[in-house]
Amino acid sequence: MPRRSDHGEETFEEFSARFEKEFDGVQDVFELQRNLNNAFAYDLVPSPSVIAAALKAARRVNDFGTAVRIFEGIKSKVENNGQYEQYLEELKPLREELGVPLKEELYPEEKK
Amino acid sequence: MLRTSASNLLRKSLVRSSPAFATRAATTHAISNPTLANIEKRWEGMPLQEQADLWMALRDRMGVNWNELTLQEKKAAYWIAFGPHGPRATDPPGSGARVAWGVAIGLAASVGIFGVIRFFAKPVPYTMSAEYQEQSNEFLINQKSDPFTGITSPGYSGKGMVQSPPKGSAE
Repeated sequence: MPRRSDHGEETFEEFSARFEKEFDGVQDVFELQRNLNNAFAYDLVPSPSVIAAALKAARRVNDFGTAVRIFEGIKSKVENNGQYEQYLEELKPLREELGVPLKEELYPEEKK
Repeated sequence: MLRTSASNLLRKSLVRSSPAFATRAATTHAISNPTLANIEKRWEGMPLQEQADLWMALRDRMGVNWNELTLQEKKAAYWIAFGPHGPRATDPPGSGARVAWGVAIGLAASVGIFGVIRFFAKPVPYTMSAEYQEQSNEFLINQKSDPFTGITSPGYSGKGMVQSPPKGSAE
């Protein structure tokens, strides 16, 4: 029998579904950025479907800078460059459809 | 809230003027490159009104398909939103070295002051030697002082008053 103080463990799938729903309902830049802060605050990297929903939300509220920033967020959350490449591979069609470059493409000289 | 006819008039004029903003959102021609050239260097020095105008123009441009934006526009839109200025500004180059030198100089100065004060200090008091403190122990034992837990208690194994090295040895 669970104790009263227990609260449910959220699975990765539930997390993804929750944030996809959040991003689909985004109305303005503030909501988009608040949801991004929340999604990237967990000890996990949001799944590509969540990122796709976030990119579409950025497109919907016409915020180009935040769309570029999302990929910066992924880069800082993943464990190694290989995982980042996998994310880029997965999201390449959407990225090209929306016309979102990477920060590395915009400012290549600042790469460290 | 009290609504006078004047405030109603004002509201109506505001409402009527808002489509003028909406038409701006349909900007289809790109912002010229000279306007955005080297924006990273110029942004901080621009008057607030110009910053606002440029940002609004970019916001309007973000409404079109992003594939149609020029590279300059993309760079400017990203940089103004998330570039290293304002609260995201990075420290000027050389800050780390400056801090390191400051700490090193501060430490050296304090060690120097410590050394100078010790150099001119009086010698250690004559009571701070093992000989004097052993005599103090004998005196206390003669007095049978502290018989329950201290120096004259049965089975006492501590050092009593002795805490200094013998006279003549290094401080």
